[in-house]
Amino acid sequence: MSLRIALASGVPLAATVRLLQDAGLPLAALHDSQHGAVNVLDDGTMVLIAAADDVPLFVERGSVDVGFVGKEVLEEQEYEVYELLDLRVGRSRMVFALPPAAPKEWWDQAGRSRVRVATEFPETVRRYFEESGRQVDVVALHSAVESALGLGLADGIVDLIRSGRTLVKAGLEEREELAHCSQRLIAGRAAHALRAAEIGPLCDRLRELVERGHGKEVA
Amino acid sequence: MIPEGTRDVLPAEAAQLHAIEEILRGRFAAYGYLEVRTPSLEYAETLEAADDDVIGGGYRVFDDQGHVLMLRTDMTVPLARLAATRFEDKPLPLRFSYIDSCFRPPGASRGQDGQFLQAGAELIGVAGASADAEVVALVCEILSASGLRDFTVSLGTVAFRNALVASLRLPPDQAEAALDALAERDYPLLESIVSNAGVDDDGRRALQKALDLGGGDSALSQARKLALGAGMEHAVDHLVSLRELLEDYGYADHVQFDFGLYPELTYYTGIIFEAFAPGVGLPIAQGGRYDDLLAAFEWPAPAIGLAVAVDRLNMALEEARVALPVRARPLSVAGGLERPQLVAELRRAGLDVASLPAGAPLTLPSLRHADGDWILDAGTGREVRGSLRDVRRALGLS
Repeated sequence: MSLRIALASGVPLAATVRLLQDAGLPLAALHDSQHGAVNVLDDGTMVLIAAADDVPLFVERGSVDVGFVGKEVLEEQEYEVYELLDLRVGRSRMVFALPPAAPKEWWDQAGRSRVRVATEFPETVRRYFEESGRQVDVVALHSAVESALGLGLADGIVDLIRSGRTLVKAGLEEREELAHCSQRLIAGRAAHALRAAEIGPLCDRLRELVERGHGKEVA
Repeated sequence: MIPEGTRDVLPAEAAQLHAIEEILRGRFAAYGYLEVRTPSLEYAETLEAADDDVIGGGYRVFDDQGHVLMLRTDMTVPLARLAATRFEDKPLPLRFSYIDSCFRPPGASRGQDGQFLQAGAELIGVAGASADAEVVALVCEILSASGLRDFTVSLGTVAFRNALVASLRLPPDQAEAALDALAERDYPLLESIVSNAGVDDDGRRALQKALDLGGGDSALSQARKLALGAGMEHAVDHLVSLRELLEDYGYADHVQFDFGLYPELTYYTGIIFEAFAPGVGLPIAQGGRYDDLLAAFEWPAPAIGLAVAVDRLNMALEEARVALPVRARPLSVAGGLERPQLVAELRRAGLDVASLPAGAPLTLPSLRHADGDWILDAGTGREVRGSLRDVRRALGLS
């Protein structure tokens, strides 16, 4: 049986596909990159395109052998998967941003005991502020995090940024960096044991590419 | 209607689970493991003695005296308590087995129901590769006996990992962080811990190589070459002896080595193993050596155990299309309730009968009596008519 792979749809997909092509996977034949699309490559490899949030679940349950997904997803949901390699593509930073007028030490000065933070990553945000002893009211959204501010739903946001332009456009200022995120190679526990002969060489080829600096230019 | 993470088991699945349990009991008995049962509720401090977040993180309740009780999250710790308190002066080794439910709040360990059925065995009072081999062989024997042909047992050792981290000479807090990253198998995190600590390229390459080590016999000889210091050499030699013994048991083909394997539970001290089968993402059985746990109950003794996740084994068997020896559904007999003697005759003939009131709609398979003949409708579209012997034959009972 050939390897079964899940790729996260969205912005980093193109960079991940390029990396996999360079690692020798005949991905040129990827005819459908819509959510839920199942592509069978010439060498028999099955490639599933899934919503990023769903990739770890497919991998944990053994429906696919390996997955490619952003670190932010792995941090947010604690799945039982092995994280084998940082691919250093699809890089982004997770930041806490506030309007420029907001006080530096909000928690002391704004007369409120907690700050409302809109985010797509509620668990990560809760953990981060909890660790530094600050209370937040997490406003969990699925998208359009920036507009939550304009509408008075939140005081600040935690979001992934690639260039920082989105923040500027939304009139926000970066205050803290929570994490560096990039695409990761993950494997299921059963797949890691049962398909070691296929996963090992793939991981080796990818590691070699990453160490040679592949993906630096597409960060 | 029922708490999150729990479920009802309906008759068809219950029959499958029963069949699996009978196979497991048979194998435990064949290896001399005596079945025991322990209370579902333990004193919380008993489970806390394992010093493990998952095992100590169960559902707690108060008793009427104000003691904190916990629904058992694990069977190994209660069995260690049982051995240490009830068999203190008995000759070693002790062999116990169990089939029972454990309880963990949903989310405590992912991919696990809040209540899950475990079947396991513990061998207490013998150290060394020969005891390890018996338990690993028993895992293989259980999986084979259940009808599974395609399965793999991954073998690793805590000793190798500890020696590996020690060889990096990290400061204590970073060594701990490194062990945590290994436990999670988060290699990018491990890489950043190690490079922040200033480990040189050679050290990092050696670490990477060691983590990638896996597979068959060649992995052992490579591990021997990579070994940094006596601790790692000893750990590899132990696995070599274990491998030879498993050859004698006839199960070497199912076993592979994985030097990146790290136990989920902190009480393991020696070899650890996880068994996998196609179609199930998480281990269907796991276990390992825990030589320090019994000391927590003031009765130090080496020990090793295995636990089968019965629900996952059932999934694997379904995936492999293994037909379990499941007892057939009972025959419904209309009017049986009103005619106990007739039904008694059927039961004497070895048939399972569900008596229905006269005139009640029949469920299949059904049996009725007409003109001196028995008529069996097994739902196959064709009725069988004849004597009780014919009925038994049609049901495959004789």
